[in-house]
Amino acid sequence: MPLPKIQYPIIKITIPSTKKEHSFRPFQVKEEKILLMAKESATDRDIMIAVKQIINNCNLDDLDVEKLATFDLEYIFIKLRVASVGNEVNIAYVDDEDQQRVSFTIDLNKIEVKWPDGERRNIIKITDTTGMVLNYPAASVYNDDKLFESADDFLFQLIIRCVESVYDEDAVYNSKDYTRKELEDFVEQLDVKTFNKVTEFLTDMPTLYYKIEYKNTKGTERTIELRTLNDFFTFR
Amino acid sequence: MNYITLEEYYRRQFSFGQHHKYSITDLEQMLPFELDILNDMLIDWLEEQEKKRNTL
Repeated sequence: MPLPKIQYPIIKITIPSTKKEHSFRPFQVKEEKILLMAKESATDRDIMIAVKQIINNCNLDDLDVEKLATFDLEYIFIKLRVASVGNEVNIAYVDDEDQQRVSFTIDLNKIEVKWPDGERRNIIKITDTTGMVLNYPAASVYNDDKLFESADDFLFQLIIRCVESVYDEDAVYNSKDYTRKELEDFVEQLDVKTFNKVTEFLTDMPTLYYKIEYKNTKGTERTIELRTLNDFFTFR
Repeated sequence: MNYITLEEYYRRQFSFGQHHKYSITDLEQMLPFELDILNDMLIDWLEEQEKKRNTL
């Protein structure tokens, strides 16, 4: 039996968080349907699970989609969308000053991932000799029912899932070797200043970025910053 | 995606299958932009046929 023939163009995409290049094919009409179905279900989580499924289907090498950062997923999806549907998206906003509807055409090729200013703050020092290393939330969080059930506790639960390791002068303690309860107890004992640094790391994550500048009918210069997939595609 | 809803998606698949005898599997294996092109070409062709019929 002959080997199967590759029917689609291969796209090379550099993953923003790892800077490694991976191969993908464009998504097909049947995969677009997955997204349209998720869109009907109307939760951001369902849409991101669909996006993850599409990226997984379209990946042609050994990329572990579950380990990607959430902003990686969004970036890869934008690139796949360009190859599969086209690079232009029309969006419209109502200006809150003059109440006029303004339309824009966005070139998806110009979207980049914007990293927070300054040095990487994923190493959080607790004392001179103790600290913790954090990861950005991985794509696997979207499948984590317990996380999404923890409404008031969401940020705390997310932090626990982002701890990669804890260190002191003697050793490095990998979070994989500890139970969720042990990690919860550890994070609970952090002082406020350290906890704020951890929170800042998560709230100041890299994002997709595209800036629209226009002048409204009252002559005011306006700027719109688009930062999530929802901003570009108005899924809901 | 902004440009099509799930309802429009199924209507389009139905029209291609029912009226123009395309296989749903073939349609689903196309890239979305290919189907868009095919859709536009089909509309142009139908309009041309309509014009021809009216001039007879």
